Amino acid sequence: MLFRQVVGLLVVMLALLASSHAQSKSTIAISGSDTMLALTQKLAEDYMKANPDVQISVTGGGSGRGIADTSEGLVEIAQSSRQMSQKEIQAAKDNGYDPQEHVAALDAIAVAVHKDNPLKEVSLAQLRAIYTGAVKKWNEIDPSLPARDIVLYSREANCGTYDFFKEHVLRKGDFAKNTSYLAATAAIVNTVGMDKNAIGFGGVAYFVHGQNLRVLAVREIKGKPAILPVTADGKHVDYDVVQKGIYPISRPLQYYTREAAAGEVKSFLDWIKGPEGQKIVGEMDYIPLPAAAK
Amino acid sequence: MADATARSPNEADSAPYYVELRRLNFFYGEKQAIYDVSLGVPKNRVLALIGPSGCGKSTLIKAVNRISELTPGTRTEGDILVGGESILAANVNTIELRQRVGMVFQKPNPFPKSIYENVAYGLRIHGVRDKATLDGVVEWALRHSALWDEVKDRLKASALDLSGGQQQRLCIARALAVQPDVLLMDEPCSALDPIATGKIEDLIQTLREDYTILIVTHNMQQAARVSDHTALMWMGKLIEHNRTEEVFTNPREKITEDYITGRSG
Amino acid sequence: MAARGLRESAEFRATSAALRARLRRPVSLFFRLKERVIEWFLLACGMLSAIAVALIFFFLFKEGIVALRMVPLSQFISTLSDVTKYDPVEDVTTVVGQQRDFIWQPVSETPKFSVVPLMWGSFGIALISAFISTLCGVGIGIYLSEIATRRTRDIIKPMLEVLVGIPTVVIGFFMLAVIAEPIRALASGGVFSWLHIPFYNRSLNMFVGALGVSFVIIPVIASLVDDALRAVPNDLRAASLAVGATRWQTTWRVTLPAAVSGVFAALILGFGRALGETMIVMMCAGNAPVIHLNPFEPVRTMTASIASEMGAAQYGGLHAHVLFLVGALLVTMTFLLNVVVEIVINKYRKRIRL
Ligand SMILES: Nc1ncnc2c1ncn2[C@@H]1O[C@H](COP(=O)(O)OP(=O)(O)O)[C@@H](O)[C@H]1O
Ligand SMILES: [Mg+2]
Repeated sequence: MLFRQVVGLLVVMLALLASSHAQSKSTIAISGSDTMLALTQKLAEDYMKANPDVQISVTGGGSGRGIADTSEGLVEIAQSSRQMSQKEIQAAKDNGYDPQEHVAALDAIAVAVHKDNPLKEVSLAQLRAIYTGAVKKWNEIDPSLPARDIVLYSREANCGTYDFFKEHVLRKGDFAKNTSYLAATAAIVNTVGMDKNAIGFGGVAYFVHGQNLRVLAVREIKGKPAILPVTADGKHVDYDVVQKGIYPISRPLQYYTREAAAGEVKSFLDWIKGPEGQKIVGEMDYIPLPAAAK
Repeated sequence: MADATARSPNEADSAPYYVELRRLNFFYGEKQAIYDVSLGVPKNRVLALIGPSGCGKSTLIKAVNRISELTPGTRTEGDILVGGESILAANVNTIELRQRVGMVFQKPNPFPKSIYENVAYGLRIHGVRDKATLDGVVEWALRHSALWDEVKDRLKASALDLSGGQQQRLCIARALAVQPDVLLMDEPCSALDPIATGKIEDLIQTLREDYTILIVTHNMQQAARVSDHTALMWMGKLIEHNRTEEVFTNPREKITEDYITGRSG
Repeated sequence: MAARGLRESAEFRATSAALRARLRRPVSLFFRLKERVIEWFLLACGMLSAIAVALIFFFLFKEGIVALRMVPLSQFISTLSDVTKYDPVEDVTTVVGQQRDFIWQPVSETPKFSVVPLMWGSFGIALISAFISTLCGVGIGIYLSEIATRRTRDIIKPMLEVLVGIPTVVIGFFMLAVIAEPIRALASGGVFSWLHIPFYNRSLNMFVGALGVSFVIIPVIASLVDDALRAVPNDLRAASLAVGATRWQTTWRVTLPAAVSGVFAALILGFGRALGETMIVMMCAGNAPVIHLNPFEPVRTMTASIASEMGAAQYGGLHAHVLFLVGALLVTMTFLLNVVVEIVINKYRKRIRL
C-alpha cells in the first residue's frame, strides 16, 4: 500500500520535472530596488506579452540586494535607485564581472508634511537640520509653525531612497535617532497623511496619490527659488523641473548588468529605453528620460 | 415494585429526620436518575446507601449539598430538608449550605497545597485570617480525623506526599474544619487498601457522635459495620430503607436479598 | 450456557484454530522492517531538529563573534555621534561637535551599532505585550474552561485558532491602517477630552506594536491556559465548592494553582513569541532606534533590525556580522529567560508537588 503510494508520488514528480524541462524559455531574473519594483514588473509584463518566449522574474529586496545578487551571478539584471558604490563595483570585479549601467528613468524624492501643517517650502539645509536632529520642533524652522515635536519618517537603510537622501540631503550625516524607518514608501505616504507633526520623503510618484498631505517645494541654497516637484494641485508630477535637473533632490533610476548586455537582456533593456518602455515609465509616474538620452 | 413513599425504619427511637428527602426526582437533562425517593436520617445517625453502579447513589448524595446542580442541565423536583429547613428554596445560600453539609469524595482529592493549607482552606475562603484561630482549627480537625499524630510534624509538607488513606482522612479534616453538621461520603474507601479502610471505618464510628452521616458504599460488610440505617437503591428508585440489621438479616424485598447475597448487581 | 455450546461447536473450533495459527505466526520480515523504518524515520526527525537548533546556535555565534573582533565591545553600548546646528540667518546646517549616545545607524560613514536601543525596544514590546496578553489570555482561558457553556466554547475556541493562524503581516497591516491612528486620536483627547494622555503623540509607537503582538499571543495563551485548566481534575473543583467556596474562589485558589505549570508555560511561550515577533513590530512600533521612557514613543526591536537590514547588508561585511551578533544576543537572552523561568517553576512545582 505505502510502497505503491511512494512509487506513484515519484512518478508524478518525475513527470513534473520532465514537463518543466520541456518548455525551454529563455529566462531573465531581476532583483533590487523596491522603489523600482512596480516599474520593472510592469515593464517585464508588457515585454513578455510582446515576446512570449521570454520569461522575466522580478523581485525586490533593495538596490543593495539587487547589486549583490548581480555580482554573485544570481540574477541577470539589478534594478537600482542609486549608482553602484565603488565597493560594490570592486566586489563585482572580484567575481570577474564588469558591471554596466543602463539609465531607464528619472526619479525625484518628494518631501511632504501633513496638509494641516502651514509649511510650504524647505531648504536643503533645513531638511538636513530636521533630519539630523538639530531642529526638534516645528517652530524652530519658522516661528509661525506650531511648537510641536517634528516626527521624522524615512525608508529603511536597504533602499536607494535612503542612501540618496542621506548622501544628498544629510551630506552623509546620520539620521536623528528618533527617525522612524518604514518598510515602504506607500507606508510613509499614508503615515504622513495621518500624522499632523510628520515629515516624510520618498519617490515623488507615490506622493501624488497621497491624501491629507502636502508636497513641499525644496530650495537648494539661499537665494535660489524653492522648486515644487509636482503640479500646483499636487496631483501630477512636474516632469519639467526634474528632467531639467532644477528640482534639487532627483536621481536617475537604472539597471545594472554584470557584463555588457547581450541577447535577450540587451533587447529588453533597449526596449525599456525605447518609446514603448518610456511610455510605461511615464504611466507609472516616474519621469521619462530626456529625449537626448533615448 | 416498592411503593413510592419510603418506609420509615421501625426504630425504637423513631427520632425525627435531620436530613430528609421528600419525593425527590432528579434529571440529567431528559434523563431521569432519581425516581420519587423519600428517605431520611435522624441526627447523629449513619445512613448507608447501597445499590449497583449507576443506580443513582452519587446523584442522590450530591443533591443534599447541591453540588449536583453544577452539572449543566440538571433539574431537581421534590424537596430536601436539612435541620427541618428546605435547602431547595429560592433564598437558600449554597455557600452556607455547603458549610453545613460537608462532603468526602470517592477518590481522595486533596488540593496541591500543604497539609495545613488543605485544612485551612475552607476557613480562609470564608475570611478567617488570624493565625491562632487557623492553627487551632487545623489541629482540631486533624485530631478529629485521626490524622494529627501522623502529620503534626510536617504540616507544611505537600498533601500529595501523603498515602491514599491519609489523603482521604485529610479530606475529611478539610470538610470538618468548616464545622458542618452533616457529612456526605461517596464511597470514601473504594480507592483504599483494607488497612486504610479500617481506619476510616473506625473514624466514622467516632464521627457519628457529632455528625449526621450519609455514606455510599459498595462494601456490604462496611455498611453493616458503620451504619445505623441502610437504604438500597435500584435503577434510581428506593427499594428498601430500614435499620441496618433488618436489611441484612431480614430483607423485605427479593431484590435486596439478591443484592446483599451477591446474586445480582 | 449458550457460550459453552458455542465453544464446543465444530465450527467454532475450526475458526478458533485458524485464528490462533494466524496470530501466533512469526512476525513477517516485512512487518519487522516496516517497524524499523518507522523508528528510524522518527529518530531521524528528532535528530534533525536537534541538529538544526545546534546549527543555528553555532552559526549565529560563529558569525556574530567576528563582529566582536572587528568592533570594540564598548561600541555596542554607545558611540560618539555628530551634533548638528541650524543657522536660520545663513540657512546652513553644520556639524558643531560630537557627543556620546546610544545610536544604531548601521549604514553610515562611520556605522554605529549600539544594541541598547534595540534591546530596549525588544524588551519593552515583549513586556508590555506579555502584560496585556497575560491579562486577556489568562482571562479568556479561565472563561473558556471555567465559565463558558459548551456552546460558547465551541464558538470561541475555533475563533481563537483562526486568530493564531492569521499571518502576522496581516495583523500588522490591520494595526497600521485601522487601529493605530484612531487610538492616537482617542488618546490625545480628540473625542473624549478627559482621556487626554499627555505623551501620546505618535500613532506608531511601542504601545501600538505591543498591542499588535498581543493579538498573536493572546489566543496562544488563552488556548494553552484553557487546556491547562481543563486538565485539572473536576474533583478538585468539587472539593473546593463542597466546603462553600464560590466559583471564583475555586478558580483563583485551587484550579489556577493546580494548573500553574501549564499556565506558566503558556506565559513563557507568549513572552518568547513576543520577543521574537518581527513583522508586526516592524510595521506598527514606529521603528525608531531610540530609548524613550514614554511607552507611546516609537521603538525598533532587534528582530525588526535584523529583518529589515539583512537584505542590504553584504554577507561577510561588518553590518552582517553585527546583525548575526544581535541574533545571537536575542537567542541567548530567550534561552536564559527560559532557563530561569524553568528553575523557578520547578522550585514551585516541588513545593506543591504537582
Ligand atoms: N453528569 C451526568 N450526566 C448525565 N447522566 C449522569 C451524570 N452523572 C450520572 N448520570 C447518570 O445517572 C445515573 C446515576 O448515576 P450515579 O448517581 O453516578 O450512580 P451511582 O453513584 O449509584 O453509581 C446513571 O445512569 C448515570 O449514567
Ligand atoms: Mg457513584
